[in-house]
Amino acid sequence: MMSRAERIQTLLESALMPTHLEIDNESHLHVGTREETHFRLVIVSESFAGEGLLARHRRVQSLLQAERDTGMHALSLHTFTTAEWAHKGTAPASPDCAGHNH
Amino acid sequence: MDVLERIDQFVKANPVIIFMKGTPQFPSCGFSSRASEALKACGVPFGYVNVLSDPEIFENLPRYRDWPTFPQIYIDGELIGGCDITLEMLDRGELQPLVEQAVQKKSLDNGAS
Repeated sequence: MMSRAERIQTLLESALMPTHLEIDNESHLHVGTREETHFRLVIVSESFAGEGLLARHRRVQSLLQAERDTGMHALSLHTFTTAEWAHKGTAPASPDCAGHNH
Repeated sequence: MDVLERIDQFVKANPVIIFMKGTPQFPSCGFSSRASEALKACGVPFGYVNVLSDPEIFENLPRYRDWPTFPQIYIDGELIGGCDITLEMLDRGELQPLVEQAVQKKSLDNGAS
């Protein structure tokens, strides 16, 4: 059986054909959660060209809706075109969990 | 009043507003904390709603503009996104002018009415 991280990878690779993809399972940063609940994704894909940040995030969120429905609680998303990524080269790390209410 | 109308009133009454876990002074979540810090960095006043102290808004905000997570940031009535988008816009230098324009527009609206 595939892990959630593997399912996310398969889904995003086929839908977005990323040139760079980071999938960090950050569930350990959070208190009292199960194993695969918090993810941070860095996606570099030409399919984002000409698309605003809100639209990119909506598209990725909807691709991963099934995971959200089955216990994925939080998704930190960093989306770039190849040109944006070449300029930036890194995406911010996620904050530590400051509470236990989420 | 219906909860979606209540949310809508908050969004329309405040040129810049964040629905967050906790408050800007005492955030209860790292993502809410970072997003409110980004707004603070713009140097203009902004409104906030602590979703943890309003269970009805906590339950229903995701369906208001079909956005699944907290925090949510609205500027001039428009959903900007969550923490990641707000920080990226700050980084690109896009957040501050947007916030300033929204505050200015609101004060002009108020002056006219």
